[in-house]
Amino acid sequence: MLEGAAVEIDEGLGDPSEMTLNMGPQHPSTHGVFRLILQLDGETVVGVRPVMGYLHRSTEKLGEARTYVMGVVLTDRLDYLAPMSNNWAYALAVEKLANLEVPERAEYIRVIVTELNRIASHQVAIGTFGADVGTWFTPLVYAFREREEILDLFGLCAGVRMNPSYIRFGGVARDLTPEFLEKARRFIDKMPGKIDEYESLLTRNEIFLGRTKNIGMLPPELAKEYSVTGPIARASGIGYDVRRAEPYGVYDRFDWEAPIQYNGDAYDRYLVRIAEMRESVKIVRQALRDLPDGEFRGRQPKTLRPPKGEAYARIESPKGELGFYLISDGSTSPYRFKVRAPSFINLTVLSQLTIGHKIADAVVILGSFDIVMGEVDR
Amino acid sequence: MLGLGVARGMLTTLRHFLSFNNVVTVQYPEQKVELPPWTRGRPRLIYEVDTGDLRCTACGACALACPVDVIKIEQHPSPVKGKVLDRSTSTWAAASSAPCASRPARSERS
Amino acid sequence: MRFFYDPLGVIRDGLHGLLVTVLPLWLADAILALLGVVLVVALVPALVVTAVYLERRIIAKMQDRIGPNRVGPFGLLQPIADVLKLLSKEDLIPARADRPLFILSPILVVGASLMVWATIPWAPGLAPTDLDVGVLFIIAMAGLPGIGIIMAGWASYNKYSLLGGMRAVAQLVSYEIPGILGALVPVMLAGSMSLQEIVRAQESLWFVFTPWGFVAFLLFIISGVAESNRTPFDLIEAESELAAGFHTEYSGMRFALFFLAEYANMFAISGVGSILFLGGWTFPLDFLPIPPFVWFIAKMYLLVFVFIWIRGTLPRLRYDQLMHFAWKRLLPLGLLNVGVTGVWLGVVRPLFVR
Repeated sequence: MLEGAAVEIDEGLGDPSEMTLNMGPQHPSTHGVFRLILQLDGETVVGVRPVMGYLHRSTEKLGEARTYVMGVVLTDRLDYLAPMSNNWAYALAVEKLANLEVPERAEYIRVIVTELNRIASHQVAIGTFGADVGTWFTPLVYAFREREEILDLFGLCAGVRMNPSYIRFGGVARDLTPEFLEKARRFIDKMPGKIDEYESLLTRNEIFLGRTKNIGMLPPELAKEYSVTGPIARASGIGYDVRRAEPYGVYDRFDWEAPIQYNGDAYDRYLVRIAEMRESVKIVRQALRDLPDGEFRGRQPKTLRPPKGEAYARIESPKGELGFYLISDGSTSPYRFKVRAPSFINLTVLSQLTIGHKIADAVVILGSFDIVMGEVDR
Repeated sequence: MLGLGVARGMLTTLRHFLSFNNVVTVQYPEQKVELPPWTRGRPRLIYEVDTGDLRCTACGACALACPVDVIKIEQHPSPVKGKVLDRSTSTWAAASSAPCASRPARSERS
Repeated sequence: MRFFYDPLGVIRDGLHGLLVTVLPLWLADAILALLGVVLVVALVPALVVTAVYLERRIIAKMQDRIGPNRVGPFGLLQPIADVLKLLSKEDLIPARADRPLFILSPILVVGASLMVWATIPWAPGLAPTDLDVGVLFIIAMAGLPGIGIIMAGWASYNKYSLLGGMRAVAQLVSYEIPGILGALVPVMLAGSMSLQEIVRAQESLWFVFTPWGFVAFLLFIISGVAESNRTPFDLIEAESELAAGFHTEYSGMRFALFFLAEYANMFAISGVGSILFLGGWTFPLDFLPIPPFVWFIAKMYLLVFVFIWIRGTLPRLRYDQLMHFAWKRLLPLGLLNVGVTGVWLGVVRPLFVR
């Protein structure tokens, strides 16, 4: 079991007036099997020790034992709320290694599907954030209602709703059907209204503001120190989005913004996620409009034996910068299959943020981080 | 003014409450969702593309693995040495209520 | 003919007349009061059962889904299933718990919640008893569950339960005062603390339609939500909070009693609220042959709907925000409101009355 950043907890010693509280691996608000040991003085948190590893499934080792094609299945299960992103990062890495071509239609399909999955992931983030703050699941149910439609779209294109393994190296697994395009267009047209609905429940709600404003403030220097990426960094004023910094696929052809806020508290992270959903809607609309005809998968050898070398590919997943580092030794399996999981890296700064707040805020801060244990533990 | 944000949220839920046909859930098993034919969620048998024979070798692993025990493999030794042909069918018993949504595919043998 | 307008009143008068012929007056009155008590004690749990069902269905409809619809037609037997489930659980008392207190506290809490119903009139003259100081009695009884809660927290021998119990009592006490200030306004406007009098004073205009009555109504409802530990003031029993509530160690029927008390409290506050502010059993459409208790029950359910609506929408307040809200916002507002009402009654209104 991996021990997280152990900050200021004295083993065995400690003020007798302080209480140790275990927010155990099974808990309604830990967003997966995550254990948080809190030391409390009254109601204020004075020490935090996160314990991870409950969902470790040796993805990286398995990646070394499997061939490149089989590795796609492993990547789905990393960030299971946004599987297409993981597939794309892996596909990019393999394409770099093996110099594979990707047809243009496939690139557009990849963008459509990945932005849809960004919307889906943020819906989970916002829904569970609302549930953590105490609304009896109403924002959660509204968000999941739309997420179900996105998952149905994934089922239409890939065959399965969750763990689609759709984006393969060289392109995508199957072509998009006209039914998918029709459904996706209708969905995207009604999405802005639905995002307004989520906002009406939360964004200007005084109680929500009271629970999330100035909670878990992350100063940008600290974020840079801890390599925090994704919506969390953008909420603190660091305007880093891999889609802008190092455009992959066809992202540079669309007209969109990377939203940014400057306060760095839980409320800003929520705002950034809502804004990102709106931007994703814009991107999908443009991609659907400009979708060219053509092949959906490039030519590739029957068994993939990339030449010796290494490749690092990164994308902007809904949680942050997701990177795959593959070393090839010329055989059909990678020599090293390393995942740079954004939730894992973002979690390291959690203890710094939680100390000084009350217990009720610890739940809110963890919720605003939007971690997925599949990524953290791999 | 204090309270307007709260009022906005309350108005949204009230609108949902008062609307007529806003239910999005599907009452399974009375209503079922139509899945595309290339759904990977349904277990079924695959045929060889060129010869048209079944790929299944009747090893029984699926029946052993099934947590709900809806797969029954009936087989007999084949005249060709060594290979055991899957002569009889894998039956999807109680298929409509099994949690894996395994149901007889229309095109395959059931 | 009167039967159609007020059937329960006709029955009560008939019974009274019947008993008076054979028994002395005080005995007849006592028997009728006892009958009222028995009816209330039987009826309130029935109301609670409907509330459990309604809450789940209403919140489900707000969330675009259906809610329980499998157990019985339209899921109407769902609360029965819930009750059976709770009854069949193991009755566990922690080894080091204080047994007498542990057993007594749910009884005390439920008893206090039921006592409030003693003076609530469902129709003219239809209450188990009618005290001249009805409002005072209700306020006193509403504060009584606090003792039961702290007993529960203490008797559980669990530091988290104790903390939860203390926080719950602090919350109860803090929100009583704005509630009292809210309830004070109808008393001032009607000139009496008797609930029947207050309803009669609203025959021309319900107090909620006056500006100070409206503010007092809001105060009363907010304080009522806090008194019954419902969202947004349910930090004590919230699932996603870490320190569990005072009823953690309770299981089965004992837990059901706490649950019952929370909903009975909600109904009591709705009932009292509709009497104090919404006119009780009065309704402008007098000519319709609808008995007055139907209006009362309708208004009570309307307020219960508001409680459920609030629960389905709003997030939870953090504990210090909760206390801040009660003492620094509601209390000054309540005092100001009472002051304005006093000015209206003492200075402004006499100018219009010749």
